[in-house]
Amino acid sequence: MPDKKGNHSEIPDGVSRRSFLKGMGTGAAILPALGKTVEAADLENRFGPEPAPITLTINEKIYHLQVEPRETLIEVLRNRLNITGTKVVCDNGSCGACTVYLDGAPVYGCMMLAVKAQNKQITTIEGISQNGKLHPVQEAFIEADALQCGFCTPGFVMSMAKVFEENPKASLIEVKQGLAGHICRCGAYAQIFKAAENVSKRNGG
Amino acid sequence: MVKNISALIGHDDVTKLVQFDVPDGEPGFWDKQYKFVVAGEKPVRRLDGMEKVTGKAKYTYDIYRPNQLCAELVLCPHAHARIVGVDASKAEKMPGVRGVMLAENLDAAMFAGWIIAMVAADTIQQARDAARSVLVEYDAQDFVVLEDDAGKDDNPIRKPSSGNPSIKGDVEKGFQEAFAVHEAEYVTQTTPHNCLETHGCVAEFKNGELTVWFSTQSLWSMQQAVAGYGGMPLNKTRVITEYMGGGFGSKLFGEQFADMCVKMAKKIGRPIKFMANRYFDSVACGNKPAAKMHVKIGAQKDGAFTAIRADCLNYPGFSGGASVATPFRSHYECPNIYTQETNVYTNTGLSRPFRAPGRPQGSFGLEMAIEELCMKMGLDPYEVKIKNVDVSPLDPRKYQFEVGAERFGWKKKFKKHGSDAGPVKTGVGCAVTYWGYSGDPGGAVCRCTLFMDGSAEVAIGCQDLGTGFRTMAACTAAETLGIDVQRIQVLTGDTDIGLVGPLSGGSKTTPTVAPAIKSACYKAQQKLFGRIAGDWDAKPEDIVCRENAVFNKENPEQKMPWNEAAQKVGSNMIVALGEHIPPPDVEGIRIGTGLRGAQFAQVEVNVETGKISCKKVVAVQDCGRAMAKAQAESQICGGVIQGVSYALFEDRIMDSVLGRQLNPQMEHYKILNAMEAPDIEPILIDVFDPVNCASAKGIGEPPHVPTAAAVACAVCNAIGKPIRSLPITPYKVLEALYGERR
Ligand code: FES
Ligand code: FES
Repeated sequence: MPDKKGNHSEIPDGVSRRSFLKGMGTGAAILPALGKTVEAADLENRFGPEPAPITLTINEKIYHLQVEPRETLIEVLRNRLNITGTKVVCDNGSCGACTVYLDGAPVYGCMMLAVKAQNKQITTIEGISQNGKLHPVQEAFIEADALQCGFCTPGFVMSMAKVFEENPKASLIEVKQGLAGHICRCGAYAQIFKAAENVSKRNGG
Repeated sequence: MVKNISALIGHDDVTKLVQFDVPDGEPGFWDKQYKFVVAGEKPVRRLDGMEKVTGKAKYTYDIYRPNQLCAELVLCPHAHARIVGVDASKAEKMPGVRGVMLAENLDAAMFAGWIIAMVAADTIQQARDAARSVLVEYDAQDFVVLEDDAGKDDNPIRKPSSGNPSIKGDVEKGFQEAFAVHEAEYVTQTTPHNCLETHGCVAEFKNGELTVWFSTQSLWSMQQAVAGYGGMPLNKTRVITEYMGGGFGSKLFGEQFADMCVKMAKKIGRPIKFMANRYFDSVACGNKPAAKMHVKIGAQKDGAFTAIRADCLNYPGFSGGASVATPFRSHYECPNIYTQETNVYTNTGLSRPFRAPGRPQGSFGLEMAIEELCMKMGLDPYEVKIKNVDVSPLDPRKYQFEVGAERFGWKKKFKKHGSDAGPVKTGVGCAVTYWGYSGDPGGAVCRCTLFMDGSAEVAIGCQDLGTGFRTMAACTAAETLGIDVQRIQVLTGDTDIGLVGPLSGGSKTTPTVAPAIKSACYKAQQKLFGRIAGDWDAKPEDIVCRENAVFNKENPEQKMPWNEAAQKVGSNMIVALGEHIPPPDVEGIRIGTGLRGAQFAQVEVNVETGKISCKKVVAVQDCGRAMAKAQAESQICGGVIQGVSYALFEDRIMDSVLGRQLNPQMEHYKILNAMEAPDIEPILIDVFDPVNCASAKGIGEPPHVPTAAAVACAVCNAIGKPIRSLPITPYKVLEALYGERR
């Protein structure tokens, strides 16, 4: 038991579920599974801990780059490629700010290692407007004033765009469910819902 | 030289004609007779909406400078410790590490999260690795992190500091005269700001100049701060805050991390970026402090208050204050009021202003005490509250209350406390807000530039933290010039603009800047009209522009489109500066003493599970006249959402054994999400108050003041039992209903 003075065994700062899982993930790739011998091929394919080459397809462009295996997809987008539209807010899968698509499916980019995103189509907020035209959800956000500081906005836009891709006439409750993993600290929810209503109406919903 | 103007002041319901002087050459007052065309009328698209929805907006967090290093902090894990020694030799030799700097005040760490050192490295991963390898030897000391353990008198941290009581009338006499008296203790929790963009900056020395991109609410005081950190002259120091991911009061100050960033950037000769991680942001970058309020209130048989007394303990962390007593003095009329505040310190991160500092806490204590008093007396709290704000007809409070109650449907919805059938019980509550008007005369200098193509630019050295400040500025300019808002370009967020603006705190940005913009635009346009006046044989002040048409007020036949008039600007442009010059404080021309508002909340409480959901909030708010209606409504909704989140979910939890915050990560710190957001109806009530030429007041803070109180009252109304501490959790509901051991 630690005493009242706080002289206890150290707990490292900010150990989150994610960094623990990340540790497990990369560890599993380089250590032999219990009871099995390591195949020679595995050692050749050994990855890290120093930077290693990977290939990412982001918004239909192909990037070859060197990253450390422990870098998350968002860290690589932002720090290595300067694609900064996507934000990291909680860095542990609780706020939705880092939402990107992987082969069209929304994922928390802060919870995924960049190496795992190879051979997949990655779409970010920069990639959802087509031919220089805003996505209807982006347009609706501006129209309804569905943003204040705008820091949560890329994440909200990505998830809401996905809701309407799956059901163009999505109801408010479906939209809310689709956005349940997002946090807007400024509290723009009322306007975000208004934006959703407008999109749905325009789609005949 | 002054000119005398007459103006119709008041609100929608009651008005009064007054006369006062304004300096010659300055614009008149937007009174009740003046109808807005742009400002406050149709919704205007947020000026930076496009950049924000496309991800193009570059926040401090997004800045990348060539050759930039990343910084990470070494933090003390103990709540209270002496620092015996720091050994950074291992860290310094690690790959990519370019420098380690020790913090200045390293005698003792006063809370877990205290800065020990900063490490700069090529990548953030390397910086984190190195920060973990800095060895620090601590001598842990006794600490106190829980409010309940922090004695009012014998506190091991630091002697509590008691303020002088504020006394009006004689409360003891007031309580004797009361028909009924209620007395109880109300407790609020500590909540970190959790701005989505954490605190941070990027510092760069280049060509003998220092530039800092800083997520700050106060460009100009930050310029002074960072110039000091870097030993630079002010005229070679630039601060940029183009976009900002929220502040809510936590980003008003100089920062130790910025000091270290600037010093290291200078020493190493490369730009350095530091962005707080969520842990540091939560434990060390400010919070809304907890309070314990001992409240006593007395009323006559009809509900008129006879006395209010509040003895408050504030828990601002290891230093600072809170001022939770203000609402007891300013929200309702009462002849006898006594308030006293004492700051009690703990080994936790210090508090900072959080959207109306101290007010939501005080409002909760005050409104809940009134609610319980009404419950005791069998009165409808709405009737009691409105009775106690009924002052003069020009004061908008009573009117706001009536409008809100009507829209909310109070009469139909209110039932006696606890009388709803259930198991899901509905309840309603109401509360008022107050905010002292706070424009800074001379606090801003704005520039208006007219171009010959009919476009215009306004420049202000200010920052838009997400409030819609840019849009407000454009609307004010467009309204003054009488042209489309699309023609206005707004320059802001950079000290290099060279025009001083207010910090974004105290809801003072709009009331300081809007009149300065109006003044600058008016003067620039008057210069232009001087060039037309000759042709028309008119006086420049009789020429006006409305909806892109320029005409002579005295002879409306004389007119021309704005585009044509603007050609007379010529290629030299017309430039004018403006300031906020308040009209003289003549007796009888001020309306009330600040901004007022009222909120109504409806909740559902499941008495089997304890689950509470806030269904609806009607928020009536005065902000003078709204310059940008859609953005002002967004501010109201934002204040309400944060209020509901504060009332029902948010709570910093400290571990009394470890001395650390147990929930610094958002994974464990509950904030209201999309599923829990109530339906909100914002109602702006125009108040024509000549505090400045634009009749503009700030709206950032006032709508956040009463929400938690209204929700708490609604819960009390639903279940017929008071819950005297925030947040109101299902556990507390069940405890209140069935006792501690169900
Ligand atoms: S940053 Fe990824 S979920 Fe919050
Ligand atoms: S707009 Fe600021 S967090 Fe959503």
